[in-house]
Amino acid sequence: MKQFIKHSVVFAMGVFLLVFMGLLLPNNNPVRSVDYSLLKKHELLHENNGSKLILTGGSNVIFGFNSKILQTKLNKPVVNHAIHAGYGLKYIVEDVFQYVKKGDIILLSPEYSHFIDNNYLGKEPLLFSLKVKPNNIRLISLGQLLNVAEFIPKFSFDRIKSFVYNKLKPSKPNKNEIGNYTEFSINEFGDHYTHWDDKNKNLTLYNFNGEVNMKVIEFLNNINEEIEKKGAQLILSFPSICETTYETNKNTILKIEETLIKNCNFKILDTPEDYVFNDSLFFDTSYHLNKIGIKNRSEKIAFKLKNEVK
Amino acid sequence: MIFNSIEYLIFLPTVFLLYWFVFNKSIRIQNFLLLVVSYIFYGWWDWRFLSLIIFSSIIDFYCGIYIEKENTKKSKKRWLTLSMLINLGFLGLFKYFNFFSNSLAEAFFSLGYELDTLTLDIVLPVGISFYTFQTMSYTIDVYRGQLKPTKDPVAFFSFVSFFPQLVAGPIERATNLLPQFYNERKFDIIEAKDGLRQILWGLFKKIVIADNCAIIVNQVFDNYTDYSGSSLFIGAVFFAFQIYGDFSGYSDIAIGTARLFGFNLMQNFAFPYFSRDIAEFWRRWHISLTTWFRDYVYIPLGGSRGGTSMKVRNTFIIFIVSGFWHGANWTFIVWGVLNALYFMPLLLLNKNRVNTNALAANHFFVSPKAFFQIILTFLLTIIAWVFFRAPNVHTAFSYLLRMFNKSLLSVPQVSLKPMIFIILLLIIEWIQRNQKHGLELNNVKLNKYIRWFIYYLLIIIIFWFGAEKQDFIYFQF
Repeated sequence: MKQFIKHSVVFAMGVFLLVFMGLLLPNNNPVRSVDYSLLKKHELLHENNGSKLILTGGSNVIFGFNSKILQTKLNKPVVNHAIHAGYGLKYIVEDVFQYVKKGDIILLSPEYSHFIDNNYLGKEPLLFSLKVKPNNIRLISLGQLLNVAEFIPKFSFDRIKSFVYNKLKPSKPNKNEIGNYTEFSINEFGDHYTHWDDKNKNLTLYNFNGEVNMKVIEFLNNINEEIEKKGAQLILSFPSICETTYETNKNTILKIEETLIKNCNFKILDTPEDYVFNDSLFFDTSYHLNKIGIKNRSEKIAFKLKNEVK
Repeated sequence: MIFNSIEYLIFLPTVFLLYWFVFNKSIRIQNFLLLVVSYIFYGWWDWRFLSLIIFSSIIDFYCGIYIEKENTKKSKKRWLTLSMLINLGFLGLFKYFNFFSNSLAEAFFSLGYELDTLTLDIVLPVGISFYTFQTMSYTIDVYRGQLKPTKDPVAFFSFVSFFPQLVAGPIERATNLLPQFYNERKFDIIEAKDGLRQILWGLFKKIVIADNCAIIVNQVFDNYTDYSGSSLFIGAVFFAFQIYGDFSGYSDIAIGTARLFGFNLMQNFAFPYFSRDIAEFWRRWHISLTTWFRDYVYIPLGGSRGGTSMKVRNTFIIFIVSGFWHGANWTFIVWGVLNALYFMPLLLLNKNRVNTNALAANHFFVSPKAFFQIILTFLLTIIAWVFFRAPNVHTAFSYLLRMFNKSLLSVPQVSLKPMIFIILLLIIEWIQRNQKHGLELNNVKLNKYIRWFIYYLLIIIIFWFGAEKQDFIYFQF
């Protein structure tokens, strides 16, 4: 028995070592993913140019705004902090919270899936973000760690795979073609802009059935208190969503709205219906707007925010 | 809790250590631990369903005792009937109620009457078909006098809910598994090591084979009208391996896990795609269910003792019931009927037990004749699998019609990446065809370092090539 346990432990250690090695490998990809835009976004948040309007949430935000429109109409510096819904709402909000200053307005637009089950704790993409900003590990709670733990081996081996491929077959990126979903696909505000002139693709539709998790609301109420203590304001806005996905998930979305209205201690700017747009206004997923959709949403939000921004 | 999850990775070693080091004072204490952890394992999905399994266990525990107590066959039968009614009643309510209700309404509608149907908004409890059949085997065996009823509720409840095989089998017989709960379990290092190997092999089949195939299968079956015949053929072949990798992978993990705790579960798959005819296929595929139906349905119906018509009738019954067991959908019934039809020529010509001998015994390669038979049998099974996978019978027929046209010979439009893993699986399983699982190395003389190299290589393949996690298909049954 002792021998069996000893061998099993030694064997398992070997596997852990392999996984750990994968986590430590540097990213040698010639074109880094959009996750790396976080570094620039943090610089933008850090800039000392007065109180800001900070847009945050998942990819519905990075793919959903033309911040220049908002900045012009509201006469306030705008930073689009959002990248990926898969980071989880908790991580997204806590990451931005580090940079919140007096007078800032945080316009939070979570994806609907953030309110369902444990999605607010994050999935595999959270690991990508930690790879970009290892310091952010201090934001991770045990709950988040457990939620993403199952993705760690796969993530680690994907790193090893990518590292080996790039070593064996190094490729030089074409500087004239930035492409979408890369570190450089964002403009000076943090909006993903390289897709603005691209043709629409087949939309990825979503189905987010499940129970509304009250812990998300509790978390948002708590962080709101902290934001208020800093002299800033949290405002919640619903994400833009294509008609087809909205119709499929209407009951869940309305349940989320009802729960938020009943339980939130902070301002809710709008209703889900305000941002249900025709499928033709979306680029590649049910949340990612194309150029026209972005303009519509940005103008709509700017109008609604006018009273909040003084 | 599912086997390919982080929770299970923590759960299994914890239970293992508790079982052998903390709760090792008596069998009763070990059984108690197994019962508690099995309920935790099951309750991880939805603790409310625990009430069903507990209720079912209570009923069968007492039915077993009263069957033995009664003196007359008639009164014994009364208790057996009660057990059957309650178990099948639960199964009917949770699994088949909406199917019958909707089918009745459709039948009336086709006759010109509109019927207000009553459907229930209920979730199918995970593994209900498996544990119901397992617990029914107990009362039937007690009734038949093949097994003494247990007076030990902990042993019985643990037998019904034994976590390795609770949700997707193998469906154990009380005569095999229950006595193992009475006997002292001794740790056997050879069994434990091979158990771990079997778990690893099961994970490979599930994560690398089944989950990679699932991506292409879902793509093809969801948009089958957009694909050529060759792509649809590939989709059907991949589904055959998806369901094999998924289900036999689960069984391997279940059997391997049980071996770590000193239990022996029955073999559930014996390399079925190497079968030379359909009869052999059914002796190698989902063995625990096939033999369950054989012993508790086919033989009581008269089996093959009567004339040809009785054999034909019983064979059709067994395959239709087996199809229906898988799910409340006409597709499963057609799948069952199709398999019965495949079986018929062998039955009528009395050739259903021709291929009971070992495959390519004393040779590495199979004879051309046997090779042709294996290919033919596989092709027949994949046609049947199309019905199993399709959402309805109409889609299945439409899929097959599109598959068997001239574009069957065109270049497939789908990724053939899973084929590499399938070939690897087939090579390994061919080499290991006389063993209990693909990674059984008990009889092979290999240096420790080579063994470890093989295990690490397999783990690297699993992580490197494993696809996005998918649920086990058989959970829905």
